Amino acid sequence: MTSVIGFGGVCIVVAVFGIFAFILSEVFPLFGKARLHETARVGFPGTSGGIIGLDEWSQLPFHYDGQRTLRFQPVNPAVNRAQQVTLTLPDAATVTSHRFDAEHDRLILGLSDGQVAVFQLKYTSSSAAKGTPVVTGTSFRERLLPLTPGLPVETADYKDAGDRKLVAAIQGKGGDAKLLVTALRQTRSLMGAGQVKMGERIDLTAKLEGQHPERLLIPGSADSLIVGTDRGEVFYLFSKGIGWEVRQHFKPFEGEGRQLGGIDLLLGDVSLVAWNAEGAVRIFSLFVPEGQTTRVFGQTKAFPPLAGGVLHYLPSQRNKSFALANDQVLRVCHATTEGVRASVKLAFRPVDLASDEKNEHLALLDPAGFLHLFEVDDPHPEAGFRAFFSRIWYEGSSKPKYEWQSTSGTDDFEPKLSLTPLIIGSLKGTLYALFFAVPIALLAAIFVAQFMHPEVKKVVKPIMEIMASLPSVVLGFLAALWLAPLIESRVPSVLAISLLIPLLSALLGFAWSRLPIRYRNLLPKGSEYLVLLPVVILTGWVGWQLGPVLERALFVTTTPEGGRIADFRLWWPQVTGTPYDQRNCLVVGFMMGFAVIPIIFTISEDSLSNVPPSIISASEALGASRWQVVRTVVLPVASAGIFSALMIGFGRAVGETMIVVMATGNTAIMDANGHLLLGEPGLGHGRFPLADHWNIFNGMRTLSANIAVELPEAAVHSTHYRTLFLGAMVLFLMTFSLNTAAELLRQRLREKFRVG
Amino acid sequence: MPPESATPDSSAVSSSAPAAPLDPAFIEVDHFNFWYGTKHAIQDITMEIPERQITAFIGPSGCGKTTLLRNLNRLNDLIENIRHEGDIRIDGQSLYDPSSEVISLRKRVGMVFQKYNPFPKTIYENVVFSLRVAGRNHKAELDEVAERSLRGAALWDEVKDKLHESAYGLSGGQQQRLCIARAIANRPQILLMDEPCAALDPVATLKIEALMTQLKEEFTIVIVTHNMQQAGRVSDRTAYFYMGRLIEYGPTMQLLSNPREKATQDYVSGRYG
Repeated sequence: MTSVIGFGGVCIVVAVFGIFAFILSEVFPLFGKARLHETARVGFPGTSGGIIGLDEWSQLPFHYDGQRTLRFQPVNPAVNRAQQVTLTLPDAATVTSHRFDAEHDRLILGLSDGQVAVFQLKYTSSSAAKGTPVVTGTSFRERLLPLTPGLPVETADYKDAGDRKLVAAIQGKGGDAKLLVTALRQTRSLMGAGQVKMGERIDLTAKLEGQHPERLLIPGSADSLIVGTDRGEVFYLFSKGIGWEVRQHFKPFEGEGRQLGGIDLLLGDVSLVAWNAEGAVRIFSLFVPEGQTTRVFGQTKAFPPLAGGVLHYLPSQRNKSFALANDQVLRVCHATTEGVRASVKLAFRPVDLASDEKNEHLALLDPAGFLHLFEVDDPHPEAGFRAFFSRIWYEGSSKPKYEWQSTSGTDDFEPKLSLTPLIIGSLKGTLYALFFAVPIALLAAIFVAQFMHPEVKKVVKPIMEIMASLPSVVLGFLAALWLAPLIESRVPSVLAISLLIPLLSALLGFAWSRLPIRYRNLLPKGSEYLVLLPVVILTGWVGWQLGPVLERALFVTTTPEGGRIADFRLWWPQVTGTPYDQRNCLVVGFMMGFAVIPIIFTISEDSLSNVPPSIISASEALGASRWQVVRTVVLPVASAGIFSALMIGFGRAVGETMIVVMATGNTAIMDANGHLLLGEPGLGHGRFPLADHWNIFNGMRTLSANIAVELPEAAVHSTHYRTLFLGAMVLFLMTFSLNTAAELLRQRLREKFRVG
Repeated sequence: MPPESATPDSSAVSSSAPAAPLDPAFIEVDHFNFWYGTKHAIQDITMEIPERQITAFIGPSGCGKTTLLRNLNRLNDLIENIRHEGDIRIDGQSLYDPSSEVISLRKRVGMVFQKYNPFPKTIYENVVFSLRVAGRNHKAELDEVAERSLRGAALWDEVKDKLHESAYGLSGGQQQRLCIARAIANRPQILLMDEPCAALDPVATLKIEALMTQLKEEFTIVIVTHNMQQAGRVSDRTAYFYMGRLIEYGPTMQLLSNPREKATQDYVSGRYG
């Protein structure tokens, strides 16, 4: 028998450690660095300079020589064929500038005759041979856009946002450089896309306050322009009606006398990456600063300088990573976490840098015409200690914050993986639940164990134990669909009741103790609650009715029109600056309290009942009142058991999932910037910083609820998936460390108050 | 402990009273009947227990002697389904007077149990427990009471250096004497002892018995015992109970050596059963 029990015990320990090891193995890769290693080399003989690009499968890289020749060279000549395409350009023109827009596979060429030619690259793949897809590449001219005739185009960019297309170019050199922009409009009807009409050519040079344009970027929305000037300033121009306005201009490297090395966009076109000659890299994101109404750029990130300066910059087409290269090193960074993911030393000065769509390969062209293909092994670029636990300045946010938003509808979104709001949410829900449950459960246990008539106790105890077996989904359902709407409009009533009932109960107890003994003896011992019960019910009813009266008297807000509205739901946000939600912590705490009360009650009642009768008799015989017996003898002796009851209750509340999922509605609350705020502490607009974190009237999401809700939709072994496991581990560690500490304390209590 | 609960009769022991010795009381049991549920545990017992004497209750197990003892401070109130008839009076005041508090009664009647049962507290806190629950917390007074009570229980010399250590560090006999010290700390008039030596070795038993002889100078003592020799050694009067009835009650010497009743004769000579 002992061996069976021993075997079972060992199995449980092994199982717990197995679970822990599994979680750890899922979490561990999150904290790994990226790895870069060269896998192939492709020759483009007879070339020097030019630009390169990769197809989606990294099978058929191309090289553009800067004039009219586009060459495709296979990585694996056994599968794919080399191809060559000649670009059709006006005969008299030469190419004066070129840009490859990897995200849209577009080659944008500026011509000497003042036109901009846009070529679209097309890759097609057919069935894979030995796992390698057969890829063919080609290119066709999408548009030929005339700007200022006769003036060579130094830099050009083109973006197509559907109905709206924009072409912009810098024409002429140095002091004569002009900034020109033309919007293209395409009418759409039921018959399909119509003709593209070129709008008026607008010269924006005058908007640059006498500075000369050198660099030019068009964000994907095709409604704005980012221009870098010769004095190291960046102008952010925004199209307004048919005209343009300068929304902002700033020096990315202000006051340091440093020239702007370059500017480019990050995936999503919300962040601008700027670097200087010394290799310092800064990121500027578009957000609405506090007190303003328009989105402008503000610095959000700074990276350690790349020694030797930045020669090439390349944004990832998959995530917020970017690659930097100079003649010594190739470095991969991640914007969100402000971290360097990987670095490799280079033995050559790269001519160009390219990546594939999946961000699995990076390609570098060396001066001898060889393309070096690097495999990028970085499955979790957005992970890291910083991402999970630190404040991060996300794109579009007006300040650094802790935020959880793991998925979104678009590909270029920035995952926000801070576990902090979830940890706070867990603690918050637990705290409010215990706030409600502990006093009720402990007082009930004391009363039932030491005061209640044994006949009644025989009924009450099993009922409470049945309560413990209530499925939490039922409680959650009740909380969400019955309690939350009920409480929503009656918060003042709830406040009144929670104040009045303890107060009147205490008053009644005092009055009862003042009553002459002959009246008190009329009730059998342990049945005094029969007097209290009607008072409590009556107080509850009075409190409920009193709520609206209180609301009219105390919780009055003024509307902008000068009217006065008595509504707590409006009063609370106005006074505290924190939001009020229908499904809030009050509801969660209340319902979770109901789940926790039976557990705490049952276990502490057991330990209170197990106090040896001999010492209870002894203290009674010494003239202690029943309450004194409880206070001086029963509670200390039972303290170890009560303590474990509290810990088990805490564990239940921390791990409770269903009630939280349902009773918080798990609603994603949107803020002004359209960001999901899930139990996000410190919204920043609260008048009391602490009230933001612990506001009882807003919702939240807990670690456990988060896992339950998001795990089914997380791709296996993705960062999101592993982060959910990290949440599980945090939960595990939280309860494990707390339980260990509690057990140590419990042992000491037990030793201290051991009887006999 | 609500101090206002003291009635005029019990004011002598209320919290405001000085710690002066009180006259021991005498106990009258008047046609007392007691039932546990349907079990008629005490059947129409009438007896007077004199002051400043040791009265022993003897009889076979289940004869009602412990039940009667526990009724003398109404400790049976804790049990469910009990019922009584008749009356018990201490100094002429009824225990069941609806206007008297059971707590003020228990202050007048100390009790020592069969199995020593100190609280999981220090020796000192065990002794002063009855004062603390009565709301008396002056350190000087508590110190004085602790010393006096421990001396009274012949324990002072053994524990004076470890007053603030756990009571469970003491030997069984010491723990029982600590329980006696605890019982006499608040100067009760009556001391009930329920087989106080049952769990002790002979040496400890002799110490407790010597202590009882000293204590009867101040207290009225009622002791329940199975041990006839003990009854003979310490008690002045002895009552023999059988099947819930008081069979014989008289001076110990007479009852043990020359009982009037045949049943008593059988029991004290060991022919019982």
